[in-house]
Amino acid sequence: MSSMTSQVRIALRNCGVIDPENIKDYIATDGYDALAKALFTMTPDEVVETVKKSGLRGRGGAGFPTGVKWETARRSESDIKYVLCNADEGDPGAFMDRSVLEGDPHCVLEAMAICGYAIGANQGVIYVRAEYPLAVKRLQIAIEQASELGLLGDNILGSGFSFNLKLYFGAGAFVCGEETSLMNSVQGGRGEPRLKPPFPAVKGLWDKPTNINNVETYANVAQIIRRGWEWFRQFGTEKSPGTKVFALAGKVNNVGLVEVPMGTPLRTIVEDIGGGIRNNKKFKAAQTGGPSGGCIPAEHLDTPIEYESLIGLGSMMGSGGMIVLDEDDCMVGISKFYLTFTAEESCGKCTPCRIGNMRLLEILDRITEGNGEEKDLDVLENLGNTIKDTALCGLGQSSPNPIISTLRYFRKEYEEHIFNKRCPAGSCSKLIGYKILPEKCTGCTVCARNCPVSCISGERKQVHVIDQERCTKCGVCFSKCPFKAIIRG
Amino acid sequence: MDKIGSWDELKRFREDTRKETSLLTPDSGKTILAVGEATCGIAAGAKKIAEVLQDEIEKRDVKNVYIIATGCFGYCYAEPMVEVREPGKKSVYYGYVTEDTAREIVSEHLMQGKPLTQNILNLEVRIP
Amino acid sequence: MVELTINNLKKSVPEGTTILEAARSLGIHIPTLCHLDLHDIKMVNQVGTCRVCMVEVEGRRNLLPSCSTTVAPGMVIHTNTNRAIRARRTIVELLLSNHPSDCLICERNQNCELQSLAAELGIREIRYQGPRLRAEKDTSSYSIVRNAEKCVLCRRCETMCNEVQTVGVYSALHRGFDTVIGTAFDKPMLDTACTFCGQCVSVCPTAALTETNDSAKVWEAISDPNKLVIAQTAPAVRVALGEAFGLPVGTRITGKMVAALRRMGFDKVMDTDFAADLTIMEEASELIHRIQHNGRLPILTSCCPAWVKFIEHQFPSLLDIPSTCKSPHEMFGAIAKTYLAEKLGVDPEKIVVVSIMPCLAKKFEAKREELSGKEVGTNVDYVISTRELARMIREAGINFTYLPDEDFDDMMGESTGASVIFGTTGGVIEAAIRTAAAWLDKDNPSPQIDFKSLRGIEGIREAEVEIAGMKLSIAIAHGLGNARKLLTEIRDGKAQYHAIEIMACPSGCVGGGGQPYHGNNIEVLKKRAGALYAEDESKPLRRSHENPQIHKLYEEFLGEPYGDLAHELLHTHYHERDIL
Repeated sequence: MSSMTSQVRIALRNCGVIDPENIKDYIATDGYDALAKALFTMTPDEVVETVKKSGLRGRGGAGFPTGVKWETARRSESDIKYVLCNADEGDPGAFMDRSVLEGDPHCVLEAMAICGYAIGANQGVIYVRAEYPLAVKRLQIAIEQASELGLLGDNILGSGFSFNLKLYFGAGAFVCGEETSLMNSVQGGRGEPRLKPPFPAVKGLWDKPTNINNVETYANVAQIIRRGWEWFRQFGTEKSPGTKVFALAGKVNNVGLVEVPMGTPLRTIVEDIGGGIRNNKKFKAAQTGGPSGGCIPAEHLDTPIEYESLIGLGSMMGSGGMIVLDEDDCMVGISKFYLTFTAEESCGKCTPCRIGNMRLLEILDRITEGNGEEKDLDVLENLGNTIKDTALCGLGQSSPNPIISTLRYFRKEYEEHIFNKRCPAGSCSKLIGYKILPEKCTGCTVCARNCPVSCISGERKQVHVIDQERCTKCGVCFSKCPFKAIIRG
Repeated sequence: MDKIGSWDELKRFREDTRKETSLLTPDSGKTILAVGEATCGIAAGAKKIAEVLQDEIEKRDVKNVYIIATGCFGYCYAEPMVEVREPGKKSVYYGYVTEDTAREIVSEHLMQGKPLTQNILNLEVRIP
Repeated sequence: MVELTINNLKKSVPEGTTILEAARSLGIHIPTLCHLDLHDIKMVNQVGTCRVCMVEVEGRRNLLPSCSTTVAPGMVIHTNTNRAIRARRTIVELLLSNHPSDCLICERNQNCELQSLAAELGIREIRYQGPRLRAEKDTSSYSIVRNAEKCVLCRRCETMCNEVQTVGVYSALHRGFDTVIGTAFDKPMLDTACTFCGQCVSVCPTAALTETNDSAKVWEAISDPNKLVIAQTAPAVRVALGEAFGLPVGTRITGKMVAALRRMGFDKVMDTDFAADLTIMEEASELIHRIQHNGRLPILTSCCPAWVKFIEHQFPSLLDIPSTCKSPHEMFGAIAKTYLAEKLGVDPEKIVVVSIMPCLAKKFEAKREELSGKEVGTNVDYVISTRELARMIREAGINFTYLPDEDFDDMMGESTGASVIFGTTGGVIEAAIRTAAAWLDKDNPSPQIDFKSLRGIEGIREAEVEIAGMKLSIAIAHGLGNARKLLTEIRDGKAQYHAIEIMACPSGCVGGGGQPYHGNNIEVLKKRAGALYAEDESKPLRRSHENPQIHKLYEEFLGEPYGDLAHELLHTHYHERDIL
């Protein structure tokens, strides 16, 4: 079994340790101490200053300095302000925030109360996906218990500060993870982004100054307040202090949640923590940042992971999804997977995202079906870059990233599809075929019995044949043949 | 529960919890079986494992052992997982726990003080 | 003030100015599509959806939409770099790749903002090809046709309907490539709370929203030898039709319009203005009746069919306050098929009344069941908008600008200045007050004619008018959002008036949904209104009750104003409608 010493847990410190449905467990592990410390020994400005100095950056994707957000919201004058928590985790393969909410809901509540005190807000809203029923349940229990003990609500701990929290359920639109769409959704409107500026810290929920951070960002706050910004800065790098949680998925042996200090090389995550690639296959790339990110190839495995380095590689931190790909994964197919996702999840508001992504997707479709043309590569690149340059919100501005990054590192694979009508990874079904080798076939009938479209014929103990016209290239026969008599190519 | 009215009261509440009721800390003198019951664990069958553990403890009348549901340990590949926390000892983590393994955890590890040879995960994370 | 640099030109502009406005103040043109700023009527569409107006700002990673980005101190902006121009072209090509390429046969051919944009950017090929969005046309209503395939999702209709008119029919539905602007639950327009004011059509940059085209039916009627086809023209048409033939905005072309209608083959060319005078006779009588008999006040004008539908949906508890008077063109129809038929000795069944209106809601109104009495059949058979008339004149090969001026036909062609100003906000109430003043102040040899306190462009106006020692409190609203404000106050008992005029369209009928496109320039509406007041002043008779033909009508046929026959032919009733 693998060694896990490279993991440092700040955001996940209580996950797998405490009973998330019992507030006493949280309090026993110093829970709500940070809130008390802030309320009784710090001014709101000192809280903001501490978060600023800690260098904590948004863990939801773009890595904007959290303290700067708080400061802007604090400076915005208004009778009402809001603290929002973005728990609308939506990247395919990402589940960091769900795990925090399910394993340690109070750390989010405490951080939001601290934020409320810092910016001068008395109301908070957690926007959580309705598809996370367990997270919702545990949040509800947590809010109830915290309110019962007076750790939320009016006059918290007799300090005179009041903070109330509500849950709002998202209906599963990816774009509602974009902060302004999220606010429209809370207001009962269509999940569409607003123009920025004005930024939420100036004009947010119900047009009031609003601080919005995601779950993992909040999960760091209590520890920063309790132990000071210097403590936090001992982890991670100068520009990206602290740790980052990744949802490690794909072709590694040990999939799961990983929290490592910023600056940890990608290789450590894939090889040490992830236990290497399954079935002794070769590592091909790590996809980070979900639909907004890109693929990092083997030659960059030693890059230390932080916000800037990932952007330099044409990917991004994103919310922390990390999908490891091996030699069987087609990079054109991966682009197509993500673009299908973004094209479907685009809200349709701006032209480049609404139409541009669809046109990109059609080109990828053509390429993977063997109908690609030489000019397609230029169009993908140019149109992709224009979409990035002109789209209204973060979704559209990053949706071409999977294409652009795979074009950067795996252009040859695209060219194989276009010029030789071949899928080197053997994954694009229109470009591959299955054949039974007569010399190896024993006529065992396993393939014929398992073929879902019954297109394999042959008598028992006779050589079998695949009807290429009717074959859907599902690959079942290939994987079922006990004699390796079926080849793909 | 009454509202906690001040920081001092919170501190007292914490101390009391640690001494008397918390299932977390070795100084409570209790043995804890923590079952990973986040969505990943539940999907892998953690609820059933917790039931079997409870059943086995009652059947064998093992004293001073408490089962808690905790969040995700982070090792989704090895779910369901059970952590055995005994007073004064280092935690032992079991992965890929089946109903049989769960029964063995009670009969071998808890009752005879012999951790199983199978299914132990060597997990090291730093919680600063 | 904020200092900035655009294309190397320095400029200082007030805080809050957008890059687009700043550029325009320097004479720099940036192409736009979704952007629309008609702030006089509070129609500001600044949603930044089309991404055509993108510009480069130094220090910013991405291009920025100039229409919705406010300037910041020291900003250095480039509007015409290769990067910005290429991005714009790409955006327009994307829009075109999802747009039917049937410009040659499109309603908006040569009058389409997307077409102009493509021409302006010199688009000669569409590099991005793919299937277009397919959607059914909604032809359910009698007024507005929706064709989602031609929609560029500029959201102007949504802003107009939801924010300016507060009717809330439109919203974006579905997402991604499938996004369309539609109605709640995708209901057909006819089943919605749409008032058919047509303001969405007025601001639509393409042919996604157009008027229902009834011109073929009118040609059919004209060519039928067994029919007597009468045209009646609303006041606002005569100050806007000329624009369609390149005449300066605000040109009065009444005489040419009459000549054109005759040449098209209408058997009689008459004037809705005549019926407007008739409306005043009835409405002023009703006002005086309500005042003298302690009746329900305020009285609300009922000329505007979009406004009538609005109150039926939105304020059903107030349905007893609008005047029961039919709108002028419906009164015209009722009289044409009774009195005129008798006079001309024509079977009313053979009479076809065609209303030429600045309005699309009139098309719906003409289909209202309560507006066709047993004796007269349908009051009005067809309604065509100013835009449709312009097209028909062209179709008929008539060289409009060279036409001589001709007069309306007798009997129902005579009108006063009071009726002319029906076409602009405040006009109906001023016309009513002119007559009421003369009637109530019988001893005054020269009662007041011009009530200028009732005129203007403000969305909601209040005025107090003194007539024969009696103070009348008047309110005027144009645009349904303003109407909603006023009605809410009345419903909640917060405001008291004697009479209120409401017009659904901003500026009144001169800004009607069936008028020639104003080209996103609100000054056009002001000039049209100015032309109406000029026409009013040029008339020898300026009070409705002085119209000799109206006198004759009452003498020979109707009897007393507000009398029994008048009630039967000229008044109507309202009914509650669902809000969704």
